Amino acid sequence: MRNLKKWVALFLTIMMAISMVACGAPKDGGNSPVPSSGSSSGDSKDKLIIWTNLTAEAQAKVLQKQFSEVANEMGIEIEMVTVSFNDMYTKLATAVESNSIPDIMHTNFAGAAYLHSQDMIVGLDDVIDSVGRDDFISSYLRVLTVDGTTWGVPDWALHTSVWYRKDLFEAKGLKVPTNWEEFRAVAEALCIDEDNDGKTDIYGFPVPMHAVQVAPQTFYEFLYSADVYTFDPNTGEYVFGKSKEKATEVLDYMIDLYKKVSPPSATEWSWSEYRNALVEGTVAMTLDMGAVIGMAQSNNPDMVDKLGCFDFPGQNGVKPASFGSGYCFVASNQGSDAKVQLTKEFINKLYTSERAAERALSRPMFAFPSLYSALEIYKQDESVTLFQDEIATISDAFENSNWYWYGMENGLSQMSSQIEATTFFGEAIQSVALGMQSSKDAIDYIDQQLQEQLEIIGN
Amino acid sequence: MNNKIAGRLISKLGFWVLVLTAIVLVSFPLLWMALSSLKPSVELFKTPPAFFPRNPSLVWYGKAFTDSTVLRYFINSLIVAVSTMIIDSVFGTMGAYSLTRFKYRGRKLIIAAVLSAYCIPPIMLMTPLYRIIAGLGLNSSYLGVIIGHVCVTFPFCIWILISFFKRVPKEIEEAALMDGASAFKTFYRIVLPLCVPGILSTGIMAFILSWNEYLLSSVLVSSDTMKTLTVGLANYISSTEIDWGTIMALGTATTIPIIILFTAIQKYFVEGLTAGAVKG
Amino acid sequence: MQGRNIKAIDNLRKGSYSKRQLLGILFIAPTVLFLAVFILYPVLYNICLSFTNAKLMKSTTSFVGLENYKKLFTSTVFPKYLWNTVTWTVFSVIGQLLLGFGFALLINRKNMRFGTAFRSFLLIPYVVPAVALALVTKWILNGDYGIASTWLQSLGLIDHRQSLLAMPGTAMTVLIIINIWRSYPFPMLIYWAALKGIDKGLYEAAYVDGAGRFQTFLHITIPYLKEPTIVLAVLRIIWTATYFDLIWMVTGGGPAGSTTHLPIMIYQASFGTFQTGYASAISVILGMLLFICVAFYVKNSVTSED
Repeated sequence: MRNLKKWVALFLTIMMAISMVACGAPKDGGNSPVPSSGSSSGDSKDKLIIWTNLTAEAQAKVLQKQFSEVANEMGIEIEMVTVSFNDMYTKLATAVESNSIPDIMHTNFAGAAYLHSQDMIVGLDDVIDSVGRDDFISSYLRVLTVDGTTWGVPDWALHTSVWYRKDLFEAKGLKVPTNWEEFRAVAEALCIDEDNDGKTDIYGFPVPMHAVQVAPQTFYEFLYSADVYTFDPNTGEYVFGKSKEKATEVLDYMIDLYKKVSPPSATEWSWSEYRNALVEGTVAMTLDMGAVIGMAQSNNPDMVDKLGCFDFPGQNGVKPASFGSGYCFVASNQGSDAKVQLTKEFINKLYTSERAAERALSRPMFAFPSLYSALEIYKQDESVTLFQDEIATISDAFENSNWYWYGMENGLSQMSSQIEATTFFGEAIQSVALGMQSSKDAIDYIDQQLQEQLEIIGN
Repeated sequence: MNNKIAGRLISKLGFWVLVLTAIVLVSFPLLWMALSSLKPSVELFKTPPAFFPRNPSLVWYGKAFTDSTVLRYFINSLIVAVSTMIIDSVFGTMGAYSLTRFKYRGRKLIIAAVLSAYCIPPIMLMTPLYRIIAGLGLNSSYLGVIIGHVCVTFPFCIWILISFFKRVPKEIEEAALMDGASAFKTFYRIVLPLCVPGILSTGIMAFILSWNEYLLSSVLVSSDTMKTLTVGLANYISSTEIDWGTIMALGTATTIPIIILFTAIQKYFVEGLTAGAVKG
Repeated sequence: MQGRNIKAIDNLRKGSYSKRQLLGILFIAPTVLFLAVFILYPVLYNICLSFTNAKLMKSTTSFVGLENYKKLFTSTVFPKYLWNTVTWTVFSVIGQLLLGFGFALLINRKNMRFGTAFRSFLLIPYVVPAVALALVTKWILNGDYGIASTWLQSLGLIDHRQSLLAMPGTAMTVLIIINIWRSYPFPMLIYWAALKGIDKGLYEAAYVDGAGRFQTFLHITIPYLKEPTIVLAVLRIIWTATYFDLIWMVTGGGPAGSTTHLPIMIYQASFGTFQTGYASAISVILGMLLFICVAFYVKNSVTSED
């Protein structure tokens, strides 16, 4: 019986050792290929794994269709995985940790920044050149460029503007505001009690502050309009700490708007709530990336031709910069050279003018294609015929003014993904809106958190 | 005498009022979800909302089921939950039997380990577990998620099962051994049948826990076709446009089958759990 | 034959090694293996990480001693989140035990018409997927179109177009209520079983002695329920304190951090700022706090073996 005990103990030890080795090996091995279902490196067809963050059905369908077309042309297999935005950093981080990132990732600029900082992607200048560098809207390329190398091929970009009810402006005899004072006055005039029961039926302007991404998005549009940045756009130096006084002023203005012209539950509003509110006619203006049009077309078509957009005004008139971002394709550097070549070829084939336009049109007025030639096709599409003026406003902003995504004022920076994946902006801003903290304390907290992030990413 | 009758009446009335309140409280969220799913857009976004849909329509269901991914998620969840249930019950039963009936060195340590394993926040397991599972190349198979679910359910199941086995008197086994049955036969023929209700209800609990699990599934599944229902549904909340009608339709469509399934088997669940209650 | 089995029985009583032991060891082997690979290893790994500056990104990891713990205990938000965890856990557990007990009394009534159907009905919340519940909660409490919000607004209890989920005081309350809603069935069944197990003779004897309903309830029913209550409390405290999904899907920890509990804080630290080391430190602390809660229970459970 003693023997038996020893035998069992030995068996367990061996089993444990084997499993430990099995777990440890790929990590130490480093260059192990992407583990995926049925991807044997033998004589079977090449297979590319592609992740996209576009979970919206219309967009995912177009992507799936185009990917399959290109895969057929090239005689390869693909697997497209949609990764919801909420899980994106969880998934990316765990994938990076275990060296199992996809071959191609279709993600926003912050996601690209994260993968770049992890040294997981290859430069794609050769793809851009082969598509035709001149055809790309240059500001799109600038965002994805670090030290002369472009790390992603921009697919489309989005720009924040104020979307508003043209009919209400007309009825109230209002003009497009040109500075913050005027904007507040317009928003106040648009708080309307239709049935005179003492309750506001239409609010002038919601200030959405959902802690996940929405709060920083709203706040940064205000910050940029008042010339406040995380990093200096020219030198890349961290400057938020130096402009705390200004930032406090900006926050005060934003909270003042919240208290005067926004529905109270907007502290928890995310994209869908404020878009829905404009579509259903319970607010008169919102800060949005144009996605409200797609929503109106499907949920409340009567509203579509009542909507228009203007650029959110600068604090004192002249607007230094505005808020925008976009999506791009990035390619993993984890595979063999042949695999990387294949990946590049695949991305290249996605950039015919027609395909680029079709992808952007799967979310009309939200996504603006990165190629001039695609933009021409885009403008002709019937889903946007009503919005030629708006297209002109937005593409002018893209081409001729500064636009940044939080933390990327000086090109790709992991700071953007740190802001995107965390909620400290939301927490700080909400607590001011709810009267739990002074705006000065909130800005101090944000500054302290930003500096901590800087330390984490080792900038 | 009259007083007594009145008292009884009041007590009876009070009882039924309580029952009715309970019914309303329990059913309201589910009922509201079902009713909302039948309202076309115009009624859904009306303030104040009407209770019953005026022109009930199945438009949201049509939208939800045009692509069959939801059905796929449903099947995935079923596969994962059933596998978790089987693994938990089989190994849990074996483990619990061993821990309650045998004496060997390290046994107390194992019991303590099982009980403390229950205290571990699932979130703590997440990253290392992903690493193990990706390392084994299981991150795009059901097995990866199943392992994850077993991790969070197994300690609980074995804990419950230990208390069931403790209640089976040793004398019965002694009698069987006396009659010349082998150790395994004693377990298989005598002890196991006595514990079936307990094992069944533990298995059902494992199924429910697995069916509901979101955190680990969201990380461990890295393929669209393997997503579980919780992950698939949660994508609808997080996507930039919440389509309330479709969500209510999906919520209803996924809740009803599981309620029916559970109602059909709840007899065994209740029987097992109440056969003598959970004791220390 | 007979003689060998007598020896086996002897062994069963004394618990010494015999051929029978083979079965016991074989049976426990999968459990041990599983615990070692998928639980013990991750936990040890986590504990090690908590003393390093590991990050969920390509970077060099080095030993930093108690730095992470120091950072946690000096953090301004930790006391707040810890308090949220305590509030969430304590009220959820008390609530579900009370509600479960109340319902157990209801279904324990003899000869109730539709009694079985009612009991099955009360079990339904146990299987409603948390995601579905989270979605419908958000919908019912939507500030603009939610039915509960509309009622509360027309009663003047909350502001026009306000939502309970957007106010720091009420968001946690809502979460606790829906958590109670979905978790009372388990305590209900356990209490019901306990109630059924009480010797009817005790009540009869008490009535003969002239005790009233309330008195019998106080002196017979309540003491009888002490043991299941302790077990339930331990089980549910742990389960609730580590439960992440519901809060994450309903409020994500907001508004203004008022519903952020430690599991969400851990999630934020590991997947928001990618500080794996720091996240590990928080989870070690959470695990230890919970372990203290069950330590006495584990001790009793293990020592009562003999």
